[in-house]
Amino acid sequence: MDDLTELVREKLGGPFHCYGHCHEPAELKFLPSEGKLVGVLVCPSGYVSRFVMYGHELDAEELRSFVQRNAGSAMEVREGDVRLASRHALDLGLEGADRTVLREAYWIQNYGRSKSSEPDRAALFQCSRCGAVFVQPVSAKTSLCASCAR
Amino acid sequence: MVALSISPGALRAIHVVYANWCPHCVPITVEPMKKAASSLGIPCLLYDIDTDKVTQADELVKKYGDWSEDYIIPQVFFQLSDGSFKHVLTGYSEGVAFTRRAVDNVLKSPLLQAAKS
Repeated sequence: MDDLTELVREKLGGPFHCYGHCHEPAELKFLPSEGKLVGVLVCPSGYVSRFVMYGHELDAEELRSFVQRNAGSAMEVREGDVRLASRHALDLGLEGADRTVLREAYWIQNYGRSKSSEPDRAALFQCSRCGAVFVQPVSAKTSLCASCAR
Repeated sequence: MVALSISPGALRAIHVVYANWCPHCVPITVEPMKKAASSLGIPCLLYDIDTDKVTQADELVKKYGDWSEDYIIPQVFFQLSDGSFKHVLTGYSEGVAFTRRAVDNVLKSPLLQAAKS
């Protein structure tokens, strides 16, 4: 585990609750990505309430395009729905002189301008077997992607 | 990445960008920052984004903070005696408990304690 992953696990690793889907606890799971560390907050049903990208230098477009690749044509991921935050030694409670330790970029599912109350809207889930992110109606009862469900 | 050290008397003001409807802001960030400023004998300047203070809030966040089109609140800034601003905290989208812990960390940090002495 590299230093950034370790830091994220220690300081930003939970506990969480699902947002916009249920009130169950959610878990941070890291996704395979090229270069940047990306995590998703996933409830027991597999609903992904947030994508979070971590790094020393980030911009909103990096996370937007990552989420869009996972969502495919099922939904439009707007750069305006990605929000950024700097984390400093000061607010993370780390010792030593204050410095910016990392940045986070967040995309919250069904939040802001993309919010919908449509009961069958397309939503992002993580497969409980293979870990792939996939799209299905938010009301679906399976946590398996199409390949694993076969 | 600029390291920050605050010497006694070097903190001129605390600035907080917030909204009253935001559970990360009120009371868990605004109240402790007001109290900290009061104990330091400095002003705590509040920028409610639902008022005409939004223009100043946007400017602060754009210049010194974590700007995005729908930026995260709260954002807290220290203004130092030389007039410079230091961004110290942005709310945690991970949850209110994370923001509360971050506020606590800032308030008990040796840097802020040094500014008090």
